[in-house]
Amino acid sequence: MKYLNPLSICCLAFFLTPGASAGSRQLLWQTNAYGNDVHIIDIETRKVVKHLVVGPQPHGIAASDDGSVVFIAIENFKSPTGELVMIDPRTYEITHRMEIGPKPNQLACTPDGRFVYVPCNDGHYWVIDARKKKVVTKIKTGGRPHNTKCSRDGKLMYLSPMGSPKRVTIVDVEAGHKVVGEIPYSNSVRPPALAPDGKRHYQNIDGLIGFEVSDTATRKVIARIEHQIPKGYAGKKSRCHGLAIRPDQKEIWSCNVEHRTVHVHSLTDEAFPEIAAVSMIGRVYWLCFSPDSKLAFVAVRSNRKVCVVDAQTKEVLGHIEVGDNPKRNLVVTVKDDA
Amino acid sequence: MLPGCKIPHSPPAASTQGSKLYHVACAACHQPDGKGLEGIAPPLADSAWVDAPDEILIRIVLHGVRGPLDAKGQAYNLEMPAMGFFTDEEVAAVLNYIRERWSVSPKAIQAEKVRHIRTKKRADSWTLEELGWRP
Repeated sequence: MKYLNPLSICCLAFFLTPGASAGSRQLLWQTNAYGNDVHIIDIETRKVVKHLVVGPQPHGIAASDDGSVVFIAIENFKSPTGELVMIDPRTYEITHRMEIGPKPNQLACTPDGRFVYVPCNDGHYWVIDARKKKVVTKIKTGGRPHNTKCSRDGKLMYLSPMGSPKRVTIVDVEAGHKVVGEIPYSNSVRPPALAPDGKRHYQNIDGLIGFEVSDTATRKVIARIEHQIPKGYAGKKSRCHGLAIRPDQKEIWSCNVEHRTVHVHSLTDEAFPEIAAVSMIGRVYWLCFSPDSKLAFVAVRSNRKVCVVDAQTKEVLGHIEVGDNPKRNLVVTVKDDA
Repeated sequence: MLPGCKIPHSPPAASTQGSKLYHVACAACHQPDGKGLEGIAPPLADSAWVDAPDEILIRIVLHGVRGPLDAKGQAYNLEMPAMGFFTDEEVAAVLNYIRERWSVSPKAIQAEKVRHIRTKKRADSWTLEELGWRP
């Protein structure tokens, strides 16, 4: 297994280019979960191009495929209600904000940006019609609704509430947001990932330094994958928070929080072997990739930084200073000529 | 007022403010009845944690706490968010509300003590080992 120490390589020059097409820019949006802002970073230059104040404790983030709208869930710890904020990423203008349920977390939207599923701390996922700017329905899952994934075709939503449910609820978006199934996992479900073809669903779960894999057709767990504990961390308790599939679908990356490591597993072999581990400078909480699979961006929550990793060689290319407790992040492709 | 009449009991300001803050910021996880939420937040009711030293409770509210924790036979391993955006008075109020409701012998926490601890800057949440206190 390839094991890389960031101290030996963090001074490498930034040399990769993410390959945005002419007339478009690829921007990393990094929410700062204990601040009131988002850092927006051009992934080609790795420079902060915008610091946007959106509201207290911005948490979850999602965007339509065409890059015309970004949705951010505002937790606002001091308020009994949360907010859903809609932003035009071409102008950074907040185009709409609406009051929603308490303490909203990681939301997801359909690829066309029409429907937004927002997990709120009232046991429900709030379903928003972003076009009509209305709450369509609320789906009760119990537990603490926290994470959400949408299938690439926009037909199914996978709801991952923390706590006692220990299952993922599957909703048919086109059938009036109807619950159509569940995937039981062995413990409280945390950050998920979904294969682009929709066949496999992956879950960080409590009590496992690793993830479980389920078959979405049979809705059964088919594998339980444990990360190799990094050197120096034997006996130190940890948990995993942050799971993402590289866009070329060859690898899945998982954030091991207290062991300050991102583990990389192969998706080309259904034994899901660990093929690399990338040491981080602090506690890691979320990650995303550039669309061309060349770069990974890891939120290093404890250090107010985003770590940029060469997603092919697994080398740490550098760090970008962001805000207070960076958690969720997302690369948004903006078409300037749209 | 007639001799022997008592002034109607009204909760101290800290309790009213603390109750409001608790229900907005804490109750969703620790629950309005303080019984906690399985796998998410440990109970405060019938918990020795509410009688932890003032400094420990203040640090938890100001900076958050993380890591494995056992309470009433349940394992928890999440991270309570930092609430450092509360003022010193608000931190004291919410902790006093928690103690008034669930401590067997509630002892008031003063805002001045919060102010003193806040000056010791800390960017990250605490672990139980760092706090150095267990029930």
